[in-house]
Amino acid sequence: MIAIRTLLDLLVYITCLLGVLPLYRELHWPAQLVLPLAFMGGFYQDCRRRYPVPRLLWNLLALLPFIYYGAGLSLTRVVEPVVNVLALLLALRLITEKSPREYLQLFVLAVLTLAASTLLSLSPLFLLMLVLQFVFVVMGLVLLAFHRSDAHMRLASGSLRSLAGAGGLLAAGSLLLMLGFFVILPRTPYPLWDVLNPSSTAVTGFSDQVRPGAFAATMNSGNLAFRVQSEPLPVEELYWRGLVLNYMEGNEWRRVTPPVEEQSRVSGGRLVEQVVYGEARGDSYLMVLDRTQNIDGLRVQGSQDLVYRELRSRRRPGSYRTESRLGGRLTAQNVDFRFYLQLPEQLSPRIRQTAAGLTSETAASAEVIAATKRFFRDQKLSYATTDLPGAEQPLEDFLFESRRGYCEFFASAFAVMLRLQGVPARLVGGYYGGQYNALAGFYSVREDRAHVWVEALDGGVWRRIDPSRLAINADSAPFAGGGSRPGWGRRLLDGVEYYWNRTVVSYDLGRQAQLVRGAVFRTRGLSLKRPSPTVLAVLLGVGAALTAIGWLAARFLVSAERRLLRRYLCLLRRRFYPQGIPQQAGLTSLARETGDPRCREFADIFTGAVYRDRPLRKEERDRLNRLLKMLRRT
Amino acid sequence: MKLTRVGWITILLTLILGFGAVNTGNNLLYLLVSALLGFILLSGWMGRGNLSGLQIDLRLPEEIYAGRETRVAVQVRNRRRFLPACLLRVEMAQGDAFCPLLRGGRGVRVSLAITLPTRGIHRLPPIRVSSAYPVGFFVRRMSWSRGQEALVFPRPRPLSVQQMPGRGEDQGRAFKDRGYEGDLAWIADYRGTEPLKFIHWKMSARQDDLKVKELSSMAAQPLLIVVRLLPGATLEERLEEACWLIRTLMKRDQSVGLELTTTRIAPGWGRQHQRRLLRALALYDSDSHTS
Repeated sequence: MIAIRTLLDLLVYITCLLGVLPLYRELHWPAQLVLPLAFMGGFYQDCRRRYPVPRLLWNLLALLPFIYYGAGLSLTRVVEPVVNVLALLLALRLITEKSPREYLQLFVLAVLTLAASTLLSLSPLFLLMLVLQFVFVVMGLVLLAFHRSDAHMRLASGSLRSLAGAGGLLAAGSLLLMLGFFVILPRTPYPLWDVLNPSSTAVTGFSDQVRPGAFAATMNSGNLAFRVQSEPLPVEELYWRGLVLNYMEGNEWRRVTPPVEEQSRVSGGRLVEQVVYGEARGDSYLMVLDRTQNIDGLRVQGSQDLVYRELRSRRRPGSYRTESRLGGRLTAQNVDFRFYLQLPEQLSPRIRQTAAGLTSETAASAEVIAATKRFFRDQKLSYATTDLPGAEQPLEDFLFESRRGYCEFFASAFAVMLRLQGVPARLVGGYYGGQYNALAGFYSVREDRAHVWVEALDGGVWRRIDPSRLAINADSAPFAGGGSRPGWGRRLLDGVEYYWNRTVVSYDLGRQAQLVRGAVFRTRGLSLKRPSPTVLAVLLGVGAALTAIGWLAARFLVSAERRLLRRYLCLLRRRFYPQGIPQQAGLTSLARETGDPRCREFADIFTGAVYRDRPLRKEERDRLNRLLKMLRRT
Repeated sequence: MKLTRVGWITILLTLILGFGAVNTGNNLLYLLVSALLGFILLSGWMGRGNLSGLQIDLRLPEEIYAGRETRVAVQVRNRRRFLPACLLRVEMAQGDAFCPLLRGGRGVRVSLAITLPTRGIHRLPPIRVSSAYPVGFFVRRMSWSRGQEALVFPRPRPLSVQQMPGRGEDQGRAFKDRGYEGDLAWIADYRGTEPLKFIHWKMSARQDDLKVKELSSMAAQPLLIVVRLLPGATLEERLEEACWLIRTLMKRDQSVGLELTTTRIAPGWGRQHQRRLLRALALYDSDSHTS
């Protein structure tokens, strides 16, 4: 015999642990300190069943976190206080003497704590925690119902096994229903309280401004920037376009609204369709393969320089479908030359002189570009992320003194040189490269692949030039895809995360509508077309499987006595009572009324066993089956 | 079905999380809410199956007396093969019993105490089975009633020693009778119905005719209870006294008969006879007879 309360204690601790684990690292130190102590103290007290501190005192103490964190609560600072208050309340309840009420509170707090962790992270680990916690909570609540009826109840191991089976069925069934509810629950086009969602607080490589020389060294994070479901593409074409920086002020490039009269068009190249699964970002720029002509799945505002912005920024990952032209030409008309030749007044005289000496004033754009490339090569510039030029004259230092820099230095200096020589130029910010996961068919692009390159107008076409490739160490530079290739474990986890984001995190109203449209389309398709042999085979297989399941369920879930009785009553209805069997009639009286000796024999054997609370013996079952067969035949 | 406090709390929790999920668009919260909704739905379904899979049978004791607590046996059987039936509270009138767990295909017999106030035929109150299974969100109730009736005998009212039959001149009439266990009373001719062991073989051999021994009876005198002559103030009291007398005297193996206004049952022995007498008392209609 096992005490229900012991099991209940165990389940409560596991449930709470699963609720707290995902957010423990994000908690403030008081909660981080109190939680382990509460777990140990509570467990020790529960083992000994001695509680030296009265419950009232703990209840009063529970007011403290409310007062402390409630004071710092604001519309923009909700998650942090809420998470800490929940964790502290959970700790206090763990250490209190537990009545059924406290057990219930602990289960609720554990679920709420896990729910709060979704405001801090969208990791696929949540699903594992959810499934585990859910199973334990269900088992715990089942036991709590028993504990509530008798606090000292003990159950035999056989009964417990039976109960565990029922609890397991409840948990498994609920999790299956969860999948259905998840798909159909209503969603809004845009979240109203987006401020509560996990924000992009991670270090990102992508920025909406380029300021060479601002830092002595760069620190790129390996955080994921986005994933792209795509066919494998040549590495040299993997330029992911984010935004165009077209205005230089001091040493800083930034974006201003491009001239409205400019018209551009993407033509030529190979059409590539992709689906981008973006991570949560603070800005609203959408990453697309250079050069994308169409985006579907989001409300997007595009500009003539192929910069796409989502009309409303989101803090959660979203997905969008793109159509790009690989190796396509971006032709432009009515380009405002003055706008793309703008430079700051205080530009280094040395750079101005160097640019002026590279080509003649009448040289064509292609010649200028070639001459500038030559100059960059001759300068023997190297790609580096440490010991970078200072903030005073970063471009001059980069070109003539230290000759070290990363993509921002290369692109910024190159664009300045082109503009000085009368060639319209702009910087394009985005990412370069990415790790292809052949198993799942997607590219993972991480923040450390952030990159800046140049677009120069050459004969009415914006040409992509990547000045970083002119570095003497371009082949081994980090932007070129150097470094170790992730192991299979990392790739597997990446794949899991990809599917998680694709199916769960980015599921939204658009996908719901898509599902409905797809279902309607398929229904119409079925009515119009004859199903293919494969579809037919699948349908037949599913039908056979369902029949088998139904038969097994009828065989094992309904007792033999009940099955026999059902068949017998069915036969009676068909042969003797077409108007229906009288409700209150007993088996014996029914059999007597029929006047059929086989019915009487059936009733005698059946009532002889069932009314004496014993199951039918084998020979009785056989005889009843034979009687039913005879009744059916005549 | 009644929603419990636990049920309200869970629904409230689901609503709060659902509100948060819709407003933040956080799909992880949607997952949690979906799981909770599935849980509430399935627990309701399992709670229903918990009771609908039961078979209830009621067994009454042979004798039920008015105003006296009687224990009736309720046989509860779980017709499902695998799933247990849990947290069953079986109630009938004032009596209740609790069965924490009944495994698949098994049965249990619980005993409930009920009290029926007056004599006569009573339609039994329904048997109510309630359960908070599986997680106490709802308390489901089902009631079984097959219109079963119980015959309730009058409440036995004891008489004092002075009031016992045989003491008063007018208390009943005595019968003399032959017996089988007393002393030898006389020798008589064999009539063909006496047991062989009573044949007096020596006497029969002397007289060339079969003779039998006839013994005197050791049993008490047969007694006819005339209800109208009993000392109770009202008819009900006299019926109760008659009930007590029947039970007491028949326990002593005395042959007892009964005379009501229009009914007369000759003295006799045995349980069946006792039930017959008590039944007559229970069903005696005071409206149609004057005492």
